[in-house]
Amino acid sequence: MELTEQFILLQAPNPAAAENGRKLSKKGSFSAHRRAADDTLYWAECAGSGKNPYRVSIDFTNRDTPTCRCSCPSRQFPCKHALGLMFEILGAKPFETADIPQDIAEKRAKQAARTAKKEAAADGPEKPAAPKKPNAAARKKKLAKQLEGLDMAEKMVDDLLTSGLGTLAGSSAQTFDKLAKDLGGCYLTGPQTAFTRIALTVRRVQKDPAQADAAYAEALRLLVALRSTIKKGRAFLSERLEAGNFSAEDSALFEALGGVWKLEDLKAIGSFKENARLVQLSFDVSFDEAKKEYVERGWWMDADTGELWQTLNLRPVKALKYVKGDDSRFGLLEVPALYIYPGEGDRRVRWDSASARSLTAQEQAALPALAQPDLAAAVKLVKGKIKNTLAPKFLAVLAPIGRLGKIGEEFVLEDPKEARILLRSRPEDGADHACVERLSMLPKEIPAESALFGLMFYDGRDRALCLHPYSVVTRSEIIRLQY
Amino acid sequence: MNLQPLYDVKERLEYAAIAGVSLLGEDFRLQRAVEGLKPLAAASPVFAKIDAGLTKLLAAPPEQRPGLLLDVLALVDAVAYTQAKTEVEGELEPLPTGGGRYYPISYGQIQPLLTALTTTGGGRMETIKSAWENHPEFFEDYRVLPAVVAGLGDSYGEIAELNAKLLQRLGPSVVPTLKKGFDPAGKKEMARRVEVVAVIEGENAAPWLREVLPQAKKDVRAAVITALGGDSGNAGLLLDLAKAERGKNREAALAGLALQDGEAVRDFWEAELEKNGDSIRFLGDSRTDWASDLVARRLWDRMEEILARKESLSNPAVIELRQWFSATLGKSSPSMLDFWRWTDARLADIDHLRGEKEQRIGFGTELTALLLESLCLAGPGPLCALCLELWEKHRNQTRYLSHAVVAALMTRSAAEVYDTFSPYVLTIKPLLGGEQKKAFHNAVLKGLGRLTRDETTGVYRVDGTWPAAQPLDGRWVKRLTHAVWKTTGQRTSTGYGGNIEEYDKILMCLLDPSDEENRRLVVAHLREQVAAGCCMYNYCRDIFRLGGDPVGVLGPAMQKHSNTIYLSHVLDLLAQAQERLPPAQVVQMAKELFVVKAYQPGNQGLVRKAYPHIIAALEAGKAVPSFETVRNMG
Repeated sequence: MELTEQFILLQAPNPAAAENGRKLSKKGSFSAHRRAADDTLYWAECAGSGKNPYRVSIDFTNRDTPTCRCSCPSRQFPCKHALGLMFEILGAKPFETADIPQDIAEKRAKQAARTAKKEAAADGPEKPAAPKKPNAAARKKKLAKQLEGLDMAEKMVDDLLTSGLGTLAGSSAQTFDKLAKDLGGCYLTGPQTAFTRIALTVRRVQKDPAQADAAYAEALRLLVALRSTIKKGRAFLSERLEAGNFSAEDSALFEALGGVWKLEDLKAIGSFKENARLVQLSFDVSFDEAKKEYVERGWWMDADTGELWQTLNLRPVKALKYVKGDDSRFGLLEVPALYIYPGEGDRRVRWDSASARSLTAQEQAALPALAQPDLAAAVKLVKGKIKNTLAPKFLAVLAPIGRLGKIGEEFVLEDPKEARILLRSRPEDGADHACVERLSMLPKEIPAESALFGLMFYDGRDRALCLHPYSVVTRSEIIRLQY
Repeated sequence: MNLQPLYDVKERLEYAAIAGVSLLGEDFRLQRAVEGLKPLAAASPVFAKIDAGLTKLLAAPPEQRPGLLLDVLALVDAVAYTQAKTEVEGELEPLPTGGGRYYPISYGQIQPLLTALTTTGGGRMETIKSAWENHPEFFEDYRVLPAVVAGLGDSYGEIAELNAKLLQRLGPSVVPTLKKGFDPAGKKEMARRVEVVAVIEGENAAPWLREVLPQAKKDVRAAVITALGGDSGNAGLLLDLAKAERGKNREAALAGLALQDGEAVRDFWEAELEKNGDSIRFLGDSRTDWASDLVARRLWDRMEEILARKESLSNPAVIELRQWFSATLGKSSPSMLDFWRWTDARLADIDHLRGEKEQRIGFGTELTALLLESLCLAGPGPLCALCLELWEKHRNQTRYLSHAVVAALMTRSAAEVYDTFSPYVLTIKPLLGGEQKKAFHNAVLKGLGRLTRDETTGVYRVDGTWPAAQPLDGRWVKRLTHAVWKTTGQRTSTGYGGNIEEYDKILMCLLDPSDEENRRLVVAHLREQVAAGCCMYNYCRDIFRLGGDPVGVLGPAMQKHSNTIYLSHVLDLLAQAQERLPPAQVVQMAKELFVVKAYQPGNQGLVRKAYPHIIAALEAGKAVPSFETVRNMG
């Protein structure tokens, strides 16, 4: 780990905390700067509103996840004082070498003991993990309830289509919302969200009739996917109920119905990869109106295989203060265990620990070569994936660049074999994500042997397959069009 | 393969879903679309599957139709996706490159800045300023730069102005972005773009300005004409514009023409001022000899005419005359010098001019003050000789004494200046004519007050611009500290709600701190001022700066105050002392400042309670606590 401003921002619970920490550092609130001889601990005093200054320290024993300690009463973690101290270190303020204070030494020793115990347990003779005793009766009851919910969902779909999507307004919309909420009680949060999305989409038509075509098309796509979820879900749940199998399974349906994966479940079904090396290609944030949450999405490439993954950090509005925000990452992330969500296409990944470092020139130079061989291969891949009713109607691809240009008002990518594809911003992503225009603002010409990362999607307006570009990957850098 | 029948079916199915499947059987267009699909169904199994689904849908009872419709639609969609077109015909135009650079900026860093630049609402100014303070390079990023340029049209004027300043500081690298998408018929944003380009490129902007001028409208046109005025090669064009344009655009052309030179320009101004005396305001900034001659000649004629009429002046006439007076500033052609000599000769008559209500206007005094300002603006040159000449002529008056001091400072040796003017600063109280002698003393100080010593370079400059002929003679400071009148009667208000004597301010500006003896004299003088009860915060700050200390005078000073001192100010003072003085002296200062009755009534309780702790903390070698900390002690 190298202490950079971006590293500090990543530690912060929110941008405001980091900014407040920076201000403390700037206005000289810190005094008595000290550090341990081996540079693993920095501590100082920070003037606060109280009589006595706060005692704040940063412990870099584990350099990727430093331990921040502060005597302030803040519930934010790390607090602005700890972040401020990081800015003091970053600003190369003079820290005198000193002996580690007794209280911190004791805390460090306790932490080290805990870590050693954990490691010993992990390294020790493999004990057969005591199988978790699933509460079979409860699970069975839940499955039955879910099946009941699917019947209700099917009836809702039937009723909606019998009367027509266009009638979803006023009191019928309220009844629809209420029924959708009832699905939550049947452990079917996936279909529940789908219904909420349909209602929101149809309401968009009422607010802005000019968007009717696009909104109804979107609502129908959701209904088709929902119908598929109901059909496949019913078969999936019935089979499990009959077989008495109540554990999580490697199926995208689990999540589509509203299941939430835990890392240990993913590990249990063998959906993980060891020692992955990831490079982030793009990052964006959007608001999911249906779930009332912010979705912080990172697009990553496996630096060894070229596989593309996505990370999703979900921050419900109600718990915004308590869920730490994610941010863009630069450089290379070394992940000891990469957990991969079941499904097809852009699979979601998570990890519980990782260490970051800069990409070497050689590693960077190798990235564009991990692109699809040509546009034809990328198109074939995308068509094969998006035709699945449960799959999103877009797929992340890294395509080789031959030339980038414009034909009329349209941006176009031509691959080295002279095959072309339209470059457009995906309308569903909204104005926030529109970045295709930035291709004509790039500071310099794109060098040969570069690749374009983006989401390939079907544009129903002219029945064309298009690419929403997000970043240009060259042999020397990744130029992000978004964040 | 013609897929239109497939798309027709898709469209009708979608329509049915929106209108309701109960009407499905009556949709003859759907029936027709299904018929149209038959040939495709015969040719391909996947279309045959769709056809079978459609047949089943149309034949199904109403309660099964919704599900069947979605099943067919899913199949139709899947085929549509696989048949999506990708080919794009036409000549591929290469993409241009934009201005700016690329920096790996994280979402957390760039998003708040982009939001501040592109949205509305409060707090944006602070975000932009803070981003500039921490990362000025972010503003060059190719994602941010276009937003800064677009922000020139921000509905909040201050942000638009801030963006303009930031773009100017970024320099030539932003010019391509400013010119890209420039709309000469645009609004304020485009006008600001012109201003920024003109500042960055200077005279090199002329070809672009000339190119956009024909299409430029309203605000943009005025901005383009103003920018053209900055280039000496545009006189011909500006003359044409002054004839053709009206309103703001013409004013912009006049402002530009005032900075040009040449016979045609002179002739233009002769005619312009003949027709419209109000246009004189544009010649204020011109330093050319022809402008100086023109102003002098016409003003002289006007004044002669006014004096000859012996009538009182209307308010508009007074206002216009003052515009003419202002136009003399900084001008020093021979005609202008003659005008000032004539003014001196007719000063008594000028002073008697009366306004609309027969009130005295005071033009004589105004013109004398204006000559001093003009001298300070023009610097060393003919006006110096003129001022010394006028002073010599009236040595028994104070009228030109300040002028003469300034003129001498810029043109004569330091010793000569001292020898000539120091006798006016008396060090022994006169027995007779005290008031008159004090007026001479004040006039000399007024002249000296225009001089300041640049702390970085050590150069003495008049009005911070023109260097003195020689560094100030050190004897001045000694004489001033021993002067009979250590005041000019003027005070300047400063921070902490206090005042500082203009005399002391002048003394500080003249002092060369490397002159040990003078420094000691000034510190002693400042200590006396503190003891006399002057604003201790300001004076102590200067004492610290000169390496002195106020120990010993703070006690008597505090006794002179009652209910006036703020504890927060005292804490600031002690904190400053701690940076400069040994701990023992800081403790002593703190003890002297412990006079409860001197503090604001609201602070007295706190002083009683907390002050002993403050002294104890200082004695223990700790830092001076902040006011918040002390308040918590209370």
